[in-house]
Amino acid sequence: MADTTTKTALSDKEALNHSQTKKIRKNRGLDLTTRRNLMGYWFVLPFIIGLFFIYIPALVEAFRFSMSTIVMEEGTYRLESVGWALYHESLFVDPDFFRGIVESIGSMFLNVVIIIIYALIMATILNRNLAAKGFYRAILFLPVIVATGIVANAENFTITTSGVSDIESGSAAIAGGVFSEFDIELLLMSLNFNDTLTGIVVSAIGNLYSIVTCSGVQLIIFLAGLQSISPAIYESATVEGATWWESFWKITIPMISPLILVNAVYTIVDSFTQYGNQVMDGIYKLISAGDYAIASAQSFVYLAVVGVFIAIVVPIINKFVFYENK
Amino acid sequence: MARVKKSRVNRSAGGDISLLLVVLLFAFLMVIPMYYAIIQSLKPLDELWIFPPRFWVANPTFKNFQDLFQNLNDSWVPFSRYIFNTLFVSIVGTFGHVIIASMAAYSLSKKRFMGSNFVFSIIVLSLMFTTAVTGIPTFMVMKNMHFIDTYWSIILPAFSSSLGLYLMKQHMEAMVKDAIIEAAKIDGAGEMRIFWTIVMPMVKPAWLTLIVFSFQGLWNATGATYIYSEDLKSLNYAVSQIVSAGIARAGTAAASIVFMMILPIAVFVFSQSSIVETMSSAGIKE
Repeated sequence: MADTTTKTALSDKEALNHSQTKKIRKNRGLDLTTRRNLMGYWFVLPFIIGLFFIYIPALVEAFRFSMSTIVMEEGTYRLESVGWALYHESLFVDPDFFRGIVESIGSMFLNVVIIIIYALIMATILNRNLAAKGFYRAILFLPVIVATGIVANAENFTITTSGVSDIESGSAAIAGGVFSEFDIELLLMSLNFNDTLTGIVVSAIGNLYSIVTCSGVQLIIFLAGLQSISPAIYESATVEGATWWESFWKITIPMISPLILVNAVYTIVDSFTQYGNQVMDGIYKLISAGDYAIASAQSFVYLAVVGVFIAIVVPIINKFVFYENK
Repeated sequence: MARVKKSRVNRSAGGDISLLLVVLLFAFLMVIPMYYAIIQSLKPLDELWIFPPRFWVANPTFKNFQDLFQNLNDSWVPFSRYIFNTLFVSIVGTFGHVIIASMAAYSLSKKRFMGSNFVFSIIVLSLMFTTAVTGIPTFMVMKNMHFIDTYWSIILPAFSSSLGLYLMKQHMEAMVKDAIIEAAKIDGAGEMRIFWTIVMPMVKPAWLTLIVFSFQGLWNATGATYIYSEDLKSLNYAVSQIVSAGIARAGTAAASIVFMMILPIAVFVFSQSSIVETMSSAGIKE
């Protein structure tokens, strides 16, 4: 077909046309859009390099740990393979591990629902033109700032100096770290609050508090989302006679729904991995006891559980997410 | 932006006040521990141990802060060195993370290329794994790459933190319309130009938020596992050492809590106040 075209073009003695046709044929199957898309590789490259040179090797090595007994030698270590024995042990022998997982799942559901609703409501309120709203925003974000701060570190100090992993470093600190009632207990204790009083204060405000404090990150994410919604949309809705309530459900919720997904994923992960979670406590205990192999095995089981939940929840929420471009 | 919508909506002053009360209630809960820390840091020694603990100070003093700085100055390495270390790591790490995560997010949200879904799955997966367990393997990787005992051991992992990428990706998917990118392409803008002058300004609230998260994390990173030279250690590490001396330093501990919070809060307030109007749909007629 293309050849006939070329011949016709030649017979018409249009040399220019000929060269153009040739060029098009050379790039057949690689149109402009595809080539533009290939630029995507360059943009994502720095991230992939980091992922594949630092994160993935570490993950693979941790997986090897979970399948082996670690024999310490001078200056290094040797792995003796034991197959799936450690997985079997964590799942069927360890009495606490499985129970811990079940309980974590229960509290995760509660956390996700309550935290997302609370964060969304608060973000909507804070996005209004309240007096001194900047002040309230800062205050409601305070727990996140405190959580990864000096209080947490003072507590971790014994762990870090004993040569185990530095829980608070780098990306871990960014991804994790939400203030729980455990932290307020630490804070009060490190400030020499009386023991009995600490107990009363902690249990009284504990439940409410842990939800409020766990939602700092989600709240800020929602706020950023609300601020990205174009006011023109609201304006035209108001002109058409929509009430605030209607605009909230018909504009705010759909526009912010992609971030509901982000927050759901973040809350699920956070709820599973925060301090004070039974399974995590168990894993930390194993690590400080030097049982890296079984700690790795438990972590991989746990990872699988969290992964299954993400894999179930994300598609469900995604069904309700509104993407303007699709 | 939001303000425009508010003023149009019929609502009473009463509704406003009740909303304010709700916010105040939660804000109050948040503030108690902070308030107590600040009060505690201002108490002189004799007031620190009064029972029941008081929520006010009779004779406020800056003695605790003086002690803190005295302790820091007496350390082996000059105090300013710790501050420089932490600032350097925080600023470079935050800057790099925001740029790298945004670029990757742009590519993953607006381009379809082979393997993009796979890359994204790995990123979500890495969100889920506990860093405690990858601690030792990560150390080995760092050692093999000769990053141990350098700033890079803290900065590089922060570059590729997954949460930031995920946040940016969702934001770009939701807020940046394909039509506007299309329009820019037709006008002859290259990919870099589209990214810097069109996409990034549109998602400004997202990356300002990311700056807060990233700075917050790095400011508090001790890096104790990877860094053992005293003159590369972080401010947080130095302060933690002082605090961990125990109850004898209760006042100093409170002072250091307050001291270490100042900059993250400042960054937060700065970033929130610079989120002004972002007209994500400006320039498009539908």
